[in-house]
Amino acid sequence: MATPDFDSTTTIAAQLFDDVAIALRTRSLSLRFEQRQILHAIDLAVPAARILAVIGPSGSGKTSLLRCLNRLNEEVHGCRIDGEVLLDGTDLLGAAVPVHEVRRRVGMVFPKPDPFPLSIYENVAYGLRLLGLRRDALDAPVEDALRAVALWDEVADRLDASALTLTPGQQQRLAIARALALQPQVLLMDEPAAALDPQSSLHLEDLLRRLGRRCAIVLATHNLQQAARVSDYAAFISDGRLIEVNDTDTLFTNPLRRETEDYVTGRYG
Amino acid sequence: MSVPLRAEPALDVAALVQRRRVSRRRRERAGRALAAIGAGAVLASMLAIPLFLLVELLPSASVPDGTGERLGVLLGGTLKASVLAVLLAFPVGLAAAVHLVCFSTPLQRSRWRPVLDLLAAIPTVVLGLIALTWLAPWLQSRIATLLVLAAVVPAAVIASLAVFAPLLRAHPARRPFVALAVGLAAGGVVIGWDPWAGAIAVDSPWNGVLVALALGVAAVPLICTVGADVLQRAWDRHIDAAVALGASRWQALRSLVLPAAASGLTAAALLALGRCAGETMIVLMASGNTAIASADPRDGLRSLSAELALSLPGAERGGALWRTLLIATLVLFVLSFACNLAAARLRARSA
Amino acid sequence: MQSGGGTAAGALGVTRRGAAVRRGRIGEDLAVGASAAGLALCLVLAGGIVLLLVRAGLAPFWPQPVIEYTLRDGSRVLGELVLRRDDALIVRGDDQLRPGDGYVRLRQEEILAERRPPDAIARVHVDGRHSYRRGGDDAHEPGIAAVEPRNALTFAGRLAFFGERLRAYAFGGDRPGDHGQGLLPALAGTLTLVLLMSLIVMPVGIAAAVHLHVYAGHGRLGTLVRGAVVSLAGVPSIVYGVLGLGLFVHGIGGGIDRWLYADRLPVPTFGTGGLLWAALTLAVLTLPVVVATVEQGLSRIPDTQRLGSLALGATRGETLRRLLLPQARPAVLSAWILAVARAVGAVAPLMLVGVVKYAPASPIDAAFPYLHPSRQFTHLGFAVYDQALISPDALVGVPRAYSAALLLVALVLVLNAAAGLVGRRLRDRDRAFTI
Repeated sequence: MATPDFDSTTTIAAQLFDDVAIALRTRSLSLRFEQRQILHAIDLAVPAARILAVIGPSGSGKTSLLRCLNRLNEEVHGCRIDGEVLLDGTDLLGAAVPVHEVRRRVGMVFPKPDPFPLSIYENVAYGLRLLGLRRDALDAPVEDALRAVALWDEVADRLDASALTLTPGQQQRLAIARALALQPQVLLMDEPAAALDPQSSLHLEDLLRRLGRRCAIVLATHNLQQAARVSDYAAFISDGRLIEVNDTDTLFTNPLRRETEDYVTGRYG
Repeated sequence: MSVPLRAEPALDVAALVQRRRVSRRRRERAGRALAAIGAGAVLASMLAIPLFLLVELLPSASVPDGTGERLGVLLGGTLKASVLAVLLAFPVGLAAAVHLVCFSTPLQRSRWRPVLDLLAAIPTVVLGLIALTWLAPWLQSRIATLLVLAAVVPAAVIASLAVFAPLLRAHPARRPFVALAVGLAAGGVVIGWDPWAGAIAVDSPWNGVLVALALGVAAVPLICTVGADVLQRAWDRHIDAAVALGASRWQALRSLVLPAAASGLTAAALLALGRCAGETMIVLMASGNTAIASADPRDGLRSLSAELALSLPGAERGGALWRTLLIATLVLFVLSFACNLAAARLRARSA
Repeated sequence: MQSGGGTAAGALGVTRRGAAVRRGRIGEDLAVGASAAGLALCLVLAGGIVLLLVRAGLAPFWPQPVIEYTLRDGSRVLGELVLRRDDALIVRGDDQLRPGDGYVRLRQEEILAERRPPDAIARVHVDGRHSYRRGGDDAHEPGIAAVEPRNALTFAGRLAFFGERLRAYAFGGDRPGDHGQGLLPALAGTLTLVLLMSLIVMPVGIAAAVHLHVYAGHGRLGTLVRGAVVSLAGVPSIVYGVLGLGLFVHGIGGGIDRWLYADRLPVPTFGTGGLLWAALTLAVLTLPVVVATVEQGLSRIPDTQRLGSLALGATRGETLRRLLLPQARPAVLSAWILAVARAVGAVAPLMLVGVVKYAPASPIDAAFPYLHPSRQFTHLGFAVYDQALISPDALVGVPRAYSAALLLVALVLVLNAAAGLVGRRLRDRDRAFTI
């Protein structure tokens, strides 16, 4: 089943996304930083209301891929992005959508929580305030977002306390609430449990499973067990190339490519 | 923990975004423009000086008679004052920096910082005042005394600290104060007894030595601050290896740290030189403004900056004097720019 | 005894232990001693200058006793001691025709005796002359403005006298006829100048720092601007004065005169030194400080916050306004204080662009529009220079120069202390960030 030679094409399991809507699709997405090619012609489909894990060894381009999807890489001087990122048929990399609106529709959670030095309430309300909403109109969306991340019961009585007083696990959930408040279509999660202790990490996985029905989630992680536990689909990236995309169980037990098999069985990476 | 999901969100964020699209875009553009204007103003300020000088000078390529000589005297005066000042200030600044970095704890360092900040904060016009009114009369007949002071006081301090070294090892923070006490005592003796008064003759109380002293006081904090920064970096890099090999702090300093910091220390000296070259008030008040070209520190001098301050207000725009003075400005600008550039390059190399 | 191993150890001079240790000890003592001496000298300089300023700046206000000198030739001199030179005393006796012409030089050998008669008084005339008498109630004599029974004062009385003279000098209302103004015009001129300069330099500096940090910091423009900031910082202040004189006063000012005030020519309105051009010149002078400090403050904010804000759909401007600038407030304050401190000490450029000894009219007054930027003004730092060098009566001018210098240094020190406090708050806040 595994091909013997190096094959630079992407192997996608047949009829993988037949019964599922596609939220986001990339076409020949390439990323170049100064003289180095980081990503090579990625064609990735992100299914709606599912969790897609992006796995691969460190340095393979997981974070770079995610940051292309919300155009955050444009903040780095010297980055060049080619190709297309299609959301509802619109190319996010084109001029049709202003970059800040792209980021609203494609939200992101970072490895380190780093809440703003504001109150818990203001952190969650940050994005909505940009749209001109005032306090009375904000109460409901803030509560919704906090409930969605199972934080409401813990902080409802101290919404005006500084967000820095929360534990790291709570801060990461706050970061997710922050992004969810803007009703994104896709939520990008870059190693969200990296800064958390194992206990908080497991709580976060619970949350992810529940959130996965709400919007499309792309989860980049180097923790294979986490990917196996949480995600519906998995995409394996190595050296900036998308190697294989399959549903999670199959990818871990019966990978189609030798490189994938090597990685998930721990032979390298 | 159940997570209630609303089928229909009460808030349509996408619509909100759409509504605000135009106003946000407009505001972003305005903000960007304002910031760019600010950046442009900074660029304009930098270019303004050389551009202005060139625009005023270039059209008519005529150089007024005597400009060369005049500028030569002025440049000589500037360099004389600056070089002398740095020669005086460098050992003091370096010594202070060495003590702060190599022989003090961080706590002591933070305690001494205000002293240096105080010295650096004194406006140069005040230094000029003190030089002019207080130091000049005293110095006029006591240049020899000064030389004796410079030799005797450090010797006394070094000797006393060596003698008291075993006692001070337990209280290293007291070293500068013991140095202070011994230094003041030795200085007091030299000044009080003073059999050398009048030994070295000086024509005018306003001379190169006076200017060098006052400029030196202004330059010491700069040399100390930059020097301490450079030394600290070299020290951090080398001290662990040196101690592991059994070297004392002095040995590490002498063979590893100082050589490593050499280019940075040269940079400090160059920065001080540039700063002294551009200094106006001290020279204006203490040099006597005598336009002679003499390398003897006992003679007065006239610097480029002082000349500008004195003669420009009365110069008629576009006239010969005006042109000469603008050329002098250009020379001064290039001189200080070169010093700063060289210093920056040296520091980059040592970092 | 084994020699120290390895070439590195050899390079450090650790060869034969005994000799090396001895040499190392001597060297160490030398280094410690010399460096401690250097540091001590810095302390002497800083402390000495401050002490000298305090003494010389405040002493003129302390009431001097009236002394009667009996000379060898039998004559007597009644007056106050002004200066003690090597072998002579300078005493101020009765002014004859104008204030300040009554100084007498007495050689030590001439003096037989000196005493302080308790009834000796000093009299200040309406035209500013001083005279000294023994006893008598001259308060009602025509032409006498004040009688000072100095020798009869108690310590408390002297203190009151001191305070009153200090207050009068600082806030105007100098004693009648004492030539020279109080410090108030100079202080007011300095503060007005600094205020106007701040209004110009702070917005521009913040805008430039913001541009560097958020918009184009890494491109070619950003590198160019940063290079400009670094180079500008090293330019001598007098060169800024030349720019101010040539470009602002003659160039722009002259242009404005020809355009708007042509009927007043050849008397210049804006084409001469004045508050506006001085403020503009100082703004250019302090611009690098402001840009560098504000940018440094913005850089202290972890970049993850900026990225986090952008990832939530904020534009760069919104990120700046809502998240970054509020956190940079201490840095902005610090930048302002540093700029003001630098401006207050910069006398040289002002000599070219508008500071004068006696401003004929104050740049701020009660007539609309209250601020007159085309007028000349006087400045504290310039007062130091001017009183020391140009004052007609050196014996009065020099102490005044010291008083102005004392006020100037006090102002600068307060500013630097304030900057230090703000800096400490910044550091404490940064530490609180990393929980």
